[in-house]
Amino acid sequence: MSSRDFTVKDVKSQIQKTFDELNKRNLAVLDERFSPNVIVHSAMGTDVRGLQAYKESVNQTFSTFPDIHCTLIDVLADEDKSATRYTWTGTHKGKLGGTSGNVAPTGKKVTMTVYSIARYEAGKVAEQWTMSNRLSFFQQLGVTPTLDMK
Amino acid sequence: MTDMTPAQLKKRVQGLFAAYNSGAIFKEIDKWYASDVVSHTYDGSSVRGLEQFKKNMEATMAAFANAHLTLDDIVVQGDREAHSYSYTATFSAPFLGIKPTGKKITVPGNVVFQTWRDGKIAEIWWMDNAMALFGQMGVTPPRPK
Repeated sequence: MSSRDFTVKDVKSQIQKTFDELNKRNLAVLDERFSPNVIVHSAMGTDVRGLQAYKESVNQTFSTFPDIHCTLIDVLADEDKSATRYTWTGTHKGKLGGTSGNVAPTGKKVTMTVYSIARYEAGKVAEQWTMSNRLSFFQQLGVTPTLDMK
Repeated sequence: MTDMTPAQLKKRVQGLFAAYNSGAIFKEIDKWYASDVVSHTYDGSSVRGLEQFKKNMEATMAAFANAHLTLDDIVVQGDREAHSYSYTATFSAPFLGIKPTGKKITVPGNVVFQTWRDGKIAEIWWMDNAMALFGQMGVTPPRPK
């Protein structure tokens, strides 16, 4: 699929489908949207490389927040990029690791807002930049954030 | 509908960055933002109207002297666009009740969605990289109210 086949409507329906399926815990839907070599950049300066690693990180989030639910708010798309705003809500039941430090389950419910920009190659996301209200995340959990930036 | 092509809207956003970087934004803010501009933060709070928006912007720009903004990425659709940007600045005046540290800060990963109307910004949704900002300011973030 060339970039000319890529319409705003396609992108919106694809992103909505991804959210609907992830809310049903169907990780396989990510195969349709992301390139096998996708690079996902986070605001913490860390990168996840490759679809397999990205799936593992999403799966980890499902374990940490078992009732997580994502709601798509807004999508913009041009010929080879999209920008998305969404929220997710979930209860912190599992251990947080990685850039969040080691935080034992707090049982608290958090609501996050995420803005992301994706770049497409041949109809699939090749690179994605994600920004969330990470400071508010720690405040909602009631823990002191790790502020060291990589 | 928009009165600008995607290329023109991109150019307008680049112009906005140039206006912030030259300081011209202070004099020509009404050329860039609609009088009834609405600015939303990620936590759901909003500022309505150019007067209040201008006050907040001036306070922020005063706290972060010598601010230089870099447009990193942009997506345009009709009269709407989303862009990411980075900035460097010196934390030089009180901000959110925090005493200035005089530190130079570098904050990547800020994202903004904007709706344009008649060549001006009518509505804004912000996601600033507050984690990186407070980390670089060298202070503990304020507790939520």
